[in-house]
Amino acid sequence: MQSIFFLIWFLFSIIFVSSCKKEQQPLIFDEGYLKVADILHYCQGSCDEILDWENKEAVVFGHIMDIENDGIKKEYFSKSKFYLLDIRNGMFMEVSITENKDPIFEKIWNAKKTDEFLIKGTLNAVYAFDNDECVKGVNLLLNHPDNINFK
Amino acid sequence: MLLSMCCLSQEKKYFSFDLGLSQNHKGFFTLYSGIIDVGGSYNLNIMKYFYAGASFHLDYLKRTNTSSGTIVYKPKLNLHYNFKVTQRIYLTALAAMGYSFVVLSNKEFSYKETQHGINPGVELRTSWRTQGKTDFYIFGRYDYIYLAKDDDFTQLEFYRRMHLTSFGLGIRIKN
Repeated sequence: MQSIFFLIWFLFSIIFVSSCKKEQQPLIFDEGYLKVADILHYCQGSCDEILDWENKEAVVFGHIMDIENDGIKKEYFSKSKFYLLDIRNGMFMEVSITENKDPIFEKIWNAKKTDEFLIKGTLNAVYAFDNDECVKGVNLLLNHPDNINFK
Repeated sequence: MLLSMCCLSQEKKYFSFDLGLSQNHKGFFTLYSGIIDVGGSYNLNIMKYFYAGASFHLDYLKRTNTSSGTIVYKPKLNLHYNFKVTQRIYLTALAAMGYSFVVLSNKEFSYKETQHGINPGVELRTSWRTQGKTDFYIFGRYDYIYLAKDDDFTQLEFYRRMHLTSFGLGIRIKN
């Protein structure tokens, strides 16, 4: 009987340890699309190093945040940016428009909040200070309406 | 002291039901607050102070001021050991292994999906023994859920790992 317990504990330990040990593989940016939450967690780091995601092109999947709110849409337009939301866990990232602002907003202006978007852009490092330590975060640079697709 | 933790009279089988406050730690659900962990188990005495049993618990996590919530269904098998502390009080150390189902939903966007993964867990209980058929206990529980690979859900190892804790009260119905 005791050897059965030992075996159960042994299997338990093996499963537990093996599930903890897996290393993160680098994300592949030029195939398919990535979710907002994945981009936000992966694309961060220290200001002292150049990170593998910087200036890479990526297609990001998400919903445009508050797209049915006219006041917020006007603010998006005046600031040349909007936010892409991951509806699964509430994380969101900034999409900054670098060129073709008018046609880009024309394309998204009448969207519904439930519309799913695939937005192709460049992952751009942004700098912030966390307890006096410089850290990098990310936003997405968008330059053409053709880089916006409805899923 | 360990030697003194023995000699607890044992029931052949018992049911337990408990209710606690749950908490998620980091990972994919970092913006969620834990609300409740509720469930029960059925256990058999298999050897001296050893028990084996099956349990079913569910955790409810919610994002404040939104219509999104997540329910984690946690069926598990467990092994546990009772240590007598005093005539009235005993400690239980429990190890469990299960396979959990994580149902995410956001009504505002008509979104719903299910992820699943292996779920080892540990638990400590302090129980108050009564003369009757019911004992009472407080518990602390930790669940580690490692979600099955699904690149459409996430490509990050960090998000495949869930860490849930809960603390609460339970009753144990002896048979």
